[in-house]
Amino acid sequence: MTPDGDDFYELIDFDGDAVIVAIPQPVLSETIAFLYRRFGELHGFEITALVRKH
Amino acid sequence: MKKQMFMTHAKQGDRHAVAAHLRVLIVPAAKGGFVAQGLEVDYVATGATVEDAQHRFAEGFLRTVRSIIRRDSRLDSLFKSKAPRGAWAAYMEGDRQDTLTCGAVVDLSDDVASRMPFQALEFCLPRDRAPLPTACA
Repeated sequence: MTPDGDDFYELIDFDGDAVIVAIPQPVLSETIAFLYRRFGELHGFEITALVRKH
Repeated sequence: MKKQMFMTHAKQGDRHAVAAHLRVLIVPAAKGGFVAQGLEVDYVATGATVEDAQHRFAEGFLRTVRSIIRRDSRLDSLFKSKAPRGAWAAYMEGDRQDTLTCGAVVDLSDDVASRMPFQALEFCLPRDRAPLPTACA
């Protein structure tokens, strides 16, 4: 997952397909649910990857 | 009846043109703010206001489309996951039926062109409903 500016992150799945998602702080549960639905089962998405250092 | 496509993709050489017309459910988030959930395409954006959520949805969706094209991947990767059934029900039963109409042009042969603004981008708020007839003539 790489920052893409303006809170946008590019996530790549096992197939090499990208989804660019805005993940503003605070991260809402609805965003987490979507990321798990889209990526969690594919490659063990870690919730800690959403925590950005200040 | 005219057939309505929710996404079209035309390619001519290195130039790609994508147009989409998507239904988007916008609801309050559980702990404040708003959530925009795509229905045909399982995509989610959040924001402090409805407008924030709409903007992030549109911007993120189009960035995703551009990224897919640049990777020479297929747009059907957008359909790997499905919107929750509850979202469809909430949309159909809700008072507002938001749609997102957008288009993007990606020219892989011209890096400058790829940074140009999208050609069309708008959220269509629900139309004013015509009053129901009160009595038969």
